[in-house]
Amino acid sequence: MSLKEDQQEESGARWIAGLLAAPHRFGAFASAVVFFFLYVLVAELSYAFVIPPSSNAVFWLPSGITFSAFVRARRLPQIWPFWLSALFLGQLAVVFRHGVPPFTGITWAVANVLLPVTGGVLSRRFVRGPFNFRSLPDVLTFGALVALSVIPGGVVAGIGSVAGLNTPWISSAISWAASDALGIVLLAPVILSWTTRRSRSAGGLTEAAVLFSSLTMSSFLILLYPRSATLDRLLSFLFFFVAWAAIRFGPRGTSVALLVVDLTQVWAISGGYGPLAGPDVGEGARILNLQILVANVGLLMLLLAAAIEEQRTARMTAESALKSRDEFLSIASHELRTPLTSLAMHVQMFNRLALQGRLSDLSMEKMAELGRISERQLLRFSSLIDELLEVSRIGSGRFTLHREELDLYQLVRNAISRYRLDADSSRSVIRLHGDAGVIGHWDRSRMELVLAQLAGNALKYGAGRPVDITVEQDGGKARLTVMDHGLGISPEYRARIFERFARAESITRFGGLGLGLFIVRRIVEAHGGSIEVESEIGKGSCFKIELPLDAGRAERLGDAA
Amino acid sequence: MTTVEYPILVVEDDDGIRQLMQLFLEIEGYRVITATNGQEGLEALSTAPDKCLILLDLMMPVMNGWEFVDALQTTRHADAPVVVVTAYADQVGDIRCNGVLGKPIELDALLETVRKWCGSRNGT
Repeated sequence: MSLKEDQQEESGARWIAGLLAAPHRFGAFASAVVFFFLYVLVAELSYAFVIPPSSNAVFWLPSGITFSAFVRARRLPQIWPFWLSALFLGQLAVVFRHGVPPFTGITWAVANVLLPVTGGVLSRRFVRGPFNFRSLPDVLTFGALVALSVIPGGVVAGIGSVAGLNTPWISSAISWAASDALGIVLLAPVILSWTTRRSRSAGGLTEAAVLFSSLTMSSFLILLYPRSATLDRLLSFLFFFVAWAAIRFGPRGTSVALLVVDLTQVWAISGGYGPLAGPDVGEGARILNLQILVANVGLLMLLLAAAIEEQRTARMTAESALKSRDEFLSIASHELRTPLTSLAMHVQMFNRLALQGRLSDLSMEKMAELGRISERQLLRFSSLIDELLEVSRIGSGRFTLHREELDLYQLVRNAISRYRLDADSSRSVIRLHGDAGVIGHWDRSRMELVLAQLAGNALKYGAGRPVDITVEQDGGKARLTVMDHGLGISPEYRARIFERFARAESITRFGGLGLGLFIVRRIVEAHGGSIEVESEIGKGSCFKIELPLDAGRAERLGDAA
Repeated sequence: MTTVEYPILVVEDDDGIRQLMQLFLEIEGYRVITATNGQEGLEALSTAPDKCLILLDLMMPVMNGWEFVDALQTTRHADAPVVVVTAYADQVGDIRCNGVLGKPIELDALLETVRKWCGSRNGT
């Protein structure tokens, strides 16, 4: 997926691109300053989670922030140096404030730099599409990314701990990596799911208010209230609310619900309250209990949310496909009825005049005109049927090309002369440019259809201005360009115009099945070629097709539809 | 044959339907002016004399039928009779018009409507 498409989905990435676009990198510097203070603040908060005997926080929350930031900025590495310097300095400030020996402090700062860099590099390589926890692959990728990203930092930090604090290397490294991982598991889903385009959740605002107030109250009651065996038994009850969030509020709701429960848990065990921190439970075991619980339940609930989200998306897609099919049927019948209407009028008129013995009222000129009109309507009718048949062939995978040697220029010239009549009625002129003798192996009738669609669209939306068609040869490729100077296509429709049933203009203004460009794209792709469009509102549109001269590529479209 | 005073304005974007309506109405003795969209229809109204009837398609480029009727209210032709000719008779809505003809067009019904507003021609 290209940077542009990612950014459309990921509001976070769009925002970062905006920072980089500001003059003199002002945005990048400013964000680095904010990053520094945010890092120090959250790190200080995390120090509250250091529960002896461990020297590490239960959750190192800053890692959640840095990891998420770098995953979002995975395609914008220009901003990495700014943020890395900020977090390096932030980490140094924090460790020295807490009296960590210099060498250890520096290795810890390096470890904290390594984590987001590893996350950023890995996500750049392995993350596809918007990373928003709305699909199972997203959650699984996330799990794998976290597990891998914490390793280098853990190793380096472990060395620092051995040198400065004389703690065993392996246990330091593991507890460092675990607290990084939990910080990410806790915070990254919140940040990453809230920095992509919103999907409408099943639950409404009132339901969200009820859910989150009940969740907060129950968490406080069960986890923070002075110990009682009855309340302890209710621990699992909290996950009812998290599951509720997963089912009704998607990844966004789930990640926030988990944050509420988990932070309350930490608060509880650091004060010795709650089911996980009874007097019978040792200090180390408390932390382990909590870490295992958070990791397991957190990932489980995120998986649940993703599974439900996938199902909802699939259902919504199916519903909207059904809706556009219904719309299409109504449009298609109208489109078919239009040429039939004039043909029927023709016949009715003849019958009336014959019945009234007035056929002589029709002069020879009028007769000839009638014939011309009706012939064109018949042509139009049969080309609509062709269009429908073509789409059904594409849809069922029975789409085979019949290649023969063709001169594209010649083909275009012949087709234009056939369409001259249409050009006259829309008062546009078609101008043909380029090189004669662009010879290749293509499907003649398919190429005629492509040209008819593109030229037809250019005339239809060309606002009466001339249409320029160019045929050129460029190495092993033929290039066909169809340019109009009419309405143009707005950016939000440009991405969709090659889809089935898509139309940029309202049906109340322009007729047509909404299938033309869909068919064009499929035909071009079946020939191993490509199509792109440039357009500006009010200035016109330019469709550019490139076709390999030789049959090299896929002949069949397979599951293309 | 009665002398024709006011022409009929046909506003229709489909070439075939527009040309056939014109041909038919001319054979029946009416004078017909055509326009391919609402904008052209308004221009035709501003230059020529009054029209006895406006036959109006709804779905057209540039200016559709609904917009045409709205714009018509601001001209001196505000009270010209308008008959909507549409395939979507159920979607006409509360457009201000003096009648609706469905597509496919029945020539008898069309002629009846035209006679109602423009009088009889051709002695038939």
